[in-house]
Amino acid sequence: MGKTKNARAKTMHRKSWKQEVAHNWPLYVLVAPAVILAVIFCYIPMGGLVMAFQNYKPWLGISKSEFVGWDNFRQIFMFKESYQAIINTVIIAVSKMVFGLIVPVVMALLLNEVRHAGLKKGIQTLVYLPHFLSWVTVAGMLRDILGLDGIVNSALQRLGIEPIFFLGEAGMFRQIVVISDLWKGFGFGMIVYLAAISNIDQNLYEAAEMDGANRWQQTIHITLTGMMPMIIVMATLSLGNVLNAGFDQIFNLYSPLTYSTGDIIDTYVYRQSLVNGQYSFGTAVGLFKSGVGLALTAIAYRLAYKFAGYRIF
Amino acid sequence: MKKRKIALSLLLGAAMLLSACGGSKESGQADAGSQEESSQDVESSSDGEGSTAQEGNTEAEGDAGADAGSGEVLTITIAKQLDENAGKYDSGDDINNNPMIDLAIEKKGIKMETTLLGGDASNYTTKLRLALTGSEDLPDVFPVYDTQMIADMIESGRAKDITEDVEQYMPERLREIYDRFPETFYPATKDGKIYAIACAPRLTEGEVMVIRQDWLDNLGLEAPTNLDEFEAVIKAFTEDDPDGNGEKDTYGFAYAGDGLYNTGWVSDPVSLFSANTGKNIPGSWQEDAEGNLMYGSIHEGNRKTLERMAQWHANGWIFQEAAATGAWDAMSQFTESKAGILIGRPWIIGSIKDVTTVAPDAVMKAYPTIRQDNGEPTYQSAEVNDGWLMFNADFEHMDKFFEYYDWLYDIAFGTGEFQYGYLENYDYDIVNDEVVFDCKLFDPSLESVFDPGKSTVLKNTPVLDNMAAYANVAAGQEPVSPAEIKAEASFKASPEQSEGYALANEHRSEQLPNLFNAAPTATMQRSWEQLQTMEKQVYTNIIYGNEPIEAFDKFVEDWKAQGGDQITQEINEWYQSVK
Repeated sequence: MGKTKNARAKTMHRKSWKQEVAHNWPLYVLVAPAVILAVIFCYIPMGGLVMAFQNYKPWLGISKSEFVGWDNFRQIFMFKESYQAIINTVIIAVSKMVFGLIVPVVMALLLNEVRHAGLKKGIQTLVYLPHFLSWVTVAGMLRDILGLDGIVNSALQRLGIEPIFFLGEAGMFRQIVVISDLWKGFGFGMIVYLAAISNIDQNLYEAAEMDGANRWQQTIHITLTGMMPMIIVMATLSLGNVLNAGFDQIFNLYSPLTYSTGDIIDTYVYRQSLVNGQYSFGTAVGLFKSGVGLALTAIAYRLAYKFAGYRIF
Repeated sequence: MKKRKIALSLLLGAAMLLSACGGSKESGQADAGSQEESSQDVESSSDGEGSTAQEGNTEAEGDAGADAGSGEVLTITIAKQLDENAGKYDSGDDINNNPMIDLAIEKKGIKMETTLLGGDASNYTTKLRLALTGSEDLPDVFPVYDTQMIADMIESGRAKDITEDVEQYMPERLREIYDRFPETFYPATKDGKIYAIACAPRLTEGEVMVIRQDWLDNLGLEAPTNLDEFEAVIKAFTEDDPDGNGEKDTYGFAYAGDGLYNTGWVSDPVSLFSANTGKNIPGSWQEDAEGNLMYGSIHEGNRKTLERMAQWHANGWIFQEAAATGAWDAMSQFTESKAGILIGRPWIIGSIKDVTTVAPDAVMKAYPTIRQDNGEPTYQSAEVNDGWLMFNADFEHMDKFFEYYDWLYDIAFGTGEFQYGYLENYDYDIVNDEVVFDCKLFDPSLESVFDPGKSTVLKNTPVLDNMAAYANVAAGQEPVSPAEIKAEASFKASPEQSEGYALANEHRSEQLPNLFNAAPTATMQRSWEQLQTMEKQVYTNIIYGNEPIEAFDKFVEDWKAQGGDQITQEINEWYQSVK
């Protein structure tokens, strides 16, 4: 695939820019609105990132505010609370990423083997549904389910176990966050993978059967291999989120008891910004997060190309 | 081939859009800059409405000007944060064209025109900030709801120094009110000059202790008046089956522990701490013995209360999920007839009265909060104003503004033309020679009606006091003022709640406004949130038994070392400069 692309790039190169536009103008017209929107709403505001290096005062504006160098970034790393928040963020985000990759793939493989079309569609819809619930709602449900009078604790009590205040246990908070996120989100990933599976050439399976491959071998060598490009794309895209542990979710679930394991960069900055409008500090944190995300995405892109020979974009 | 090309370029376009927008969303979570941008979108739509409103209004201005006879109508532009409880406009009316606007034009020759309108608190603050940057016009008069904004306005030079205007134009009766709340001027003062006045300051109703009287009676107990008695009652409420159903399904005290141990409104545990710290309540800056401000949470007395609460928690006498429950949600523990004691503003009695659907025999009664062991009262936070009014540096009609402001206050003093409210058929009605305030009792009955008091530059109709009227009615006085007439009606509708108000009035001296109310100091900007996080963690973990009581001593030490001492010093410098 990479080869054809390169070849095409070369032929395109021979044409001059003008010819290219004249030839393909409808395409340029089609893509124009998206490009313009992206420039206006995504690139121009990036100028505001200068604030991260300033002591920004709204009435002075970006042009006149005082420059303070890396001070705002230093503030991010000044306290042990913020270190804790960064560590928590990475642990939670990486766990979410890993499980968020494995579980949908496994589920897609399993569901792919279900022969009954109605059942398949039914399960697909059911597991996709939580994706549409907001975290405020899900957090409310979790509080009820995991509460001292909740269904989990009633079950535990039947077994003679003392009720546990799950949401107040620092040691369980990350697990709760990761599992509930998985429950809410894996349906979406599964659908993407199912789509990838349906694109696999059926002839391959027939050929494999002729060669004497059993069901398991077919799954590993055809289905999983066929899904690989999609898995790599999803993994790379999710790497950009390594510092996004999910503000909505955690903000609705955490408490002072679980700060030690559950406080993430976003919630910490949120509380910080409640003290006052710290424009510059907020921008610095945003830039820091985006920078790390961008770096990881870029690395993943290179790795995917180098080891899997696969260009994502 | 061509088909593939089309597909490819479409995909490319989509990918670009996605990735670019994804990028901005990422940074947007923490980045104030892009947050402003998104709310600007919302603004522009509401601006659209605003401009049509203004067009519609120029006519009204002409009409009303003619009505007033004088012909001179002064327009004062204002900023306003929309209030969701402001009722419904008559058809064709809007924020700049309604009976209250007309009334001011007619009576005072002043037209209050809203030129900056915020949908909710954050939207309003964003718009004010934009006005600060100059991308929106700053109105003549604008309410400000956070102290950082006051400081920014002063520093930017956009706000007017009103020291002399207050001296010269503020009517005597208003001056008396403001003299009662000197601390409201603290955040508005810089270098001896005044830049803002509090929005209609008055002491908000204080907190009372609501107890299940039927539980007390079942167990033959009295309401607790100090920590030891409190302990005895919550123990009995947990272990002696106060509801007599033979099940161990009740406990003593519901409170909120997901933040500071001083909520200031409902589900408040603060009086338990005050029992050992006196006036130095957690989360508040009050004077110490030498008259310097100190932060209450590091007061030695808190240790004793924490130690007790840790025991109570271990024994199951207090709300077991408090640490993960906000103040409002914690009230449901009372409503579900699980908890027997709740502390909060008197109106909580109205909010938790549904307990009778679970326990039909439930009787709620308001008691004063407990005393200290030495007989002194316990203290709680006071709220004296919701925001401040600031003025554009270019505004030249302060005399007119104070005239208007004083006119609005007629209703609180019961003077002038306002006896019951601003406008008959809107904030009151007279049905069969009786004044009614509930629009459902109006003639004709209305579901929702425009509330003139919420449509002015203030958020609410000014009142002199939230509690005194109830006390007067409870003492058997003949109701005269609008507030007293309302209080009398309230006594009929919900006596327990109204008694709570009267009770809170008796204990009004126990309400302490936070004496530090200015914008965060330099060190606070860096360290305050981290200190607050530490405080919440330590307090909650001690109560939950995750940390020994000695953690409190370490907390005080750390607090001081990690910026607390510095902050205390800065705050005291500020305090000396404004006092």
